[in-house]
Amino acid sequence: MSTDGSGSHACEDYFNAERRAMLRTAGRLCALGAMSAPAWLPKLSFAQEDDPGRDLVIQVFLRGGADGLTMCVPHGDAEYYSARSTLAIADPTSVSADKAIDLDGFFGLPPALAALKPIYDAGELAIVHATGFPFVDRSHFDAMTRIELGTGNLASVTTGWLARHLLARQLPDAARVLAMSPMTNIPLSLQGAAQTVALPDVDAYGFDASWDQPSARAPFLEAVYSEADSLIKQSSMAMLDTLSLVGSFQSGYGGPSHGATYPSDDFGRGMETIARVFKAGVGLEVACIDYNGWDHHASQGPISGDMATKMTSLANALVAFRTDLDTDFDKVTIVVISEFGRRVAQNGSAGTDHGTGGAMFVLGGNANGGQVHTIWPGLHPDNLADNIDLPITIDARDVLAEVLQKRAAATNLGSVFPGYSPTFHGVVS
Amino acid sequence: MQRFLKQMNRRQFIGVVGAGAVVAGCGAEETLGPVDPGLGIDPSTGGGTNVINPIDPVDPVEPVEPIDPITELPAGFKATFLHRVTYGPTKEEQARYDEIGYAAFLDEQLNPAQIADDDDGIGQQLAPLWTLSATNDELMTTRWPDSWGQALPHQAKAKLIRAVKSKRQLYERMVDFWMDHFNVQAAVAPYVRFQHIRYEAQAIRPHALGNFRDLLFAVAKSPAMMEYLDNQANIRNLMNENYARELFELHTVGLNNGYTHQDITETARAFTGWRAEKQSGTEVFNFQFRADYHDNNSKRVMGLSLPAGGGITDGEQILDFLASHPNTATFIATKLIKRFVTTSPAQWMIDRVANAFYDSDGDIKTTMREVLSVEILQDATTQLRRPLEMIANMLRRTNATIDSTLAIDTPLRTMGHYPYDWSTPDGYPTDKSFWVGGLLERWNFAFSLAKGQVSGFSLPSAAMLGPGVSSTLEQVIDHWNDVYMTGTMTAAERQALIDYSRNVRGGSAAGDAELFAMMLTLPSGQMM
Repeated sequence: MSTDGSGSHACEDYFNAERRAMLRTAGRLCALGAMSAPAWLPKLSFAQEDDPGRDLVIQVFLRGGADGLTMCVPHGDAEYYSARSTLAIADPTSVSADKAIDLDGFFGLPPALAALKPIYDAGELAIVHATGFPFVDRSHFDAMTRIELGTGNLASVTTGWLARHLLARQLPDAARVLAMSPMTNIPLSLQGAAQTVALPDVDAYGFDASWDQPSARAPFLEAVYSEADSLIKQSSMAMLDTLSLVGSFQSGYGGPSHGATYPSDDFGRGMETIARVFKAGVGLEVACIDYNGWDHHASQGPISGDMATKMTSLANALVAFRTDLDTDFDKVTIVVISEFGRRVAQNGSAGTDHGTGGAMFVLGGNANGGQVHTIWPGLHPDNLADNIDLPITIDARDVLAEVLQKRAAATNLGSVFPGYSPTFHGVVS
Repeated sequence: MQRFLKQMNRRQFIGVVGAGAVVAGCGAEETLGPVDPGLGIDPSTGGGTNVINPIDPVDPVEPVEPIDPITELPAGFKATFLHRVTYGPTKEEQARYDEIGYAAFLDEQLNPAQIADDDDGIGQQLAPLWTLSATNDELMTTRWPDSWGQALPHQAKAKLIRAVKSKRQLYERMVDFWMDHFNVQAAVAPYVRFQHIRYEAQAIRPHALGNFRDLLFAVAKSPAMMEYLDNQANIRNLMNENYARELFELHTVGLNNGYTHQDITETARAFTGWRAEKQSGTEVFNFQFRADYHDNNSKRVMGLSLPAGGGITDGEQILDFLASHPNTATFIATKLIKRFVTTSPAQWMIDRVANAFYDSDGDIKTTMREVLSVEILQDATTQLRRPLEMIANMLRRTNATIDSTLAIDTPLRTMGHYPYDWSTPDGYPTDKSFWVGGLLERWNFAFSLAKGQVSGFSLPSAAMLGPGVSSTLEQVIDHWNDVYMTGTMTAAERQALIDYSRNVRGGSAAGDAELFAMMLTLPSGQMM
């Protein structure tokens, strides 16, 4: 059930699309102009000139099974209130100070995600509901593995879904940071991708300063690690490339642009790091960041407790990122996913157990936002998966595939999601 | 300062923030409403609509044909074996192996109680870590709030000190394995950091080379696990299935390996009332079975029939059933092989080890004897040492001295391997694909160590010298290979070191800290 598509709404979309197209070219030129390659960096290539039109795709993975029924409140569904005697968010017409913020007359945002409302209204946030990955069950570890490998058939692949997208591009070998995570590890979604680095802290990234001949270290490490086990070799070569590149833009960072203020937690810092690397123009195409702690079995706290705190931080970090990127936001698409949603009914610990369908948020200058994309089943137990869970009515791979195809010029969706033919639902343009 | 992005934080108790509030409050428990004794759960639905279907009897593990014992050890076996049994063999351990041979060395390590462990003052080094032996009264009251700040760093330091200094190397490797297998994040909720001290000392360490059933029971009845997996909150009619799920999925039979969602909910019912409670008048949390919180109706789990009125035996029977289950043998066998031998185990290896586990009724020594057998170990594949293992390895092979001021918090956090800080119950991963992104931090640590810049560590002055006073460059490097790398340095690495010394460092290797650091960063030293 989506918003009523009125005629005036459509005209506004068209106008905005034109305006964004103009700004895209201007923004890109600005980025190139600001970046001067040192003479000792012969391999740097400005890939954007060769491959126009590829967004930075960011996967935000909310680990733990984020409760979609809280992130996008079905206030128009009476069963929601029956099932959640204390966890339900009040409907927008109530007198409660913590009522939902209406989106389209049926769905709403919880107060903790209020910061996203302007982005939603600007058409840059699309929500997909009752979505998920049908090949997972209610086990975190198994679900995450399947989702990140992009298939339920674990024996068939060893690479992540985003890695396969990048590999299909068959990019020429050049010094660039093709993909990154702002964490100490590279998630499974990027396993097997070349030129991919874990970059938790741009300023601290480098060799210890106290050595006699620091410039001799990289060639030595390159020499010995090029003989190592292939996974180690690939990772160390990427790391050495990144050391050079990061060195070229490490200094002179004056903080986020346009007055953006990121939350000071790990997620906020991670989003700021992604923005910084993107703005440095070193060819970043994919970033993966985790936000942990969404497994709310007990004391979920959607209004003023732990989940509310996390949602506030999530929203503020996304808003800061959008502000920081400004007109470049139309060169970015962010998908916020989780391994599954949570049980419709609350449990005995003021929390929820593992479920099936959940919500996905898609943000970007080219998202078909300002609407909730869903085929809503209604929350009556007869319509629920196993009579207890929100079912999956839109396969999440449909959305991810559409993002890759339309925003990242994907060349081989069949390899990204083997054995699956996606249907697009118009979540992005 | 590098920041460590914490892994998933499973527990969502808000907890209390002020020190005073923590002392006054009795833990971060949710206030639970009164339990209505009249309502039971209809056993025929167990909360879902699945019809109860007993699982078909599981085929026992196929017996494996005995293989002729190998009489000659394959080339390179000594290095492979020693690097799996220890955190990286010291000179003394290598000499011991040469002296008594593989079988006797393995026997020794499988019997840690017979190994004296205080010769080089490990007790002395652990002594300043006072929270580890403090009484509950000290932790909660008299030495508060120091205890709060020190509990986690003390546990982390103790883990590294033991990994480096203990002679009971295989035992410490097994403790590490079980602490990952039965993971509890020590920082997950206010009191867990204290309960975690006892968790390791009383639930895991006594059974790490003992019997799996004993281990499983001890874990199930530990306050730390009850808190961590929400069984504290699992009471009659207000079930929380978190522990029940992980019991099947992670602790015993493995994911979807013979159980259904129905079995999980039935098991959750069985464990209602298993809690950690404060003993009156003390600050001590102990395991307590609360009959008034227990769902006493009959239950059915994987064909196991539990009649009404079972009380605490409901949970105990399930634990016993799972400990004896053939799928548990297979699951544990697979994990042990992945940690100690290869991350791609062949089916025959799994069958052999599973049989050893199953036939011995879960005897861990017998099982490990099989895991570390020549037949299996000779098919070992190289693995990337995880960060803590890498650090322990570097310290062991260089015979570095460490004291309790050792500043390992920052390196381990930046490498993502801070002890007991993995937030989900599956424990720190084994597979190298997880760790391979952190090589830069390892290189930096090696440089810092060689230059004497890591507080609390110092390399012996003779560490970087050659075998003799006037050794050649090649002799020094070959000596380092022998002593520090058990001969695993490749020809290419050796040449790279020689070239580096000649071209960059002036050609004199002995005593050259920078060249020594280069040796420590070599890929062969990162692998085992």
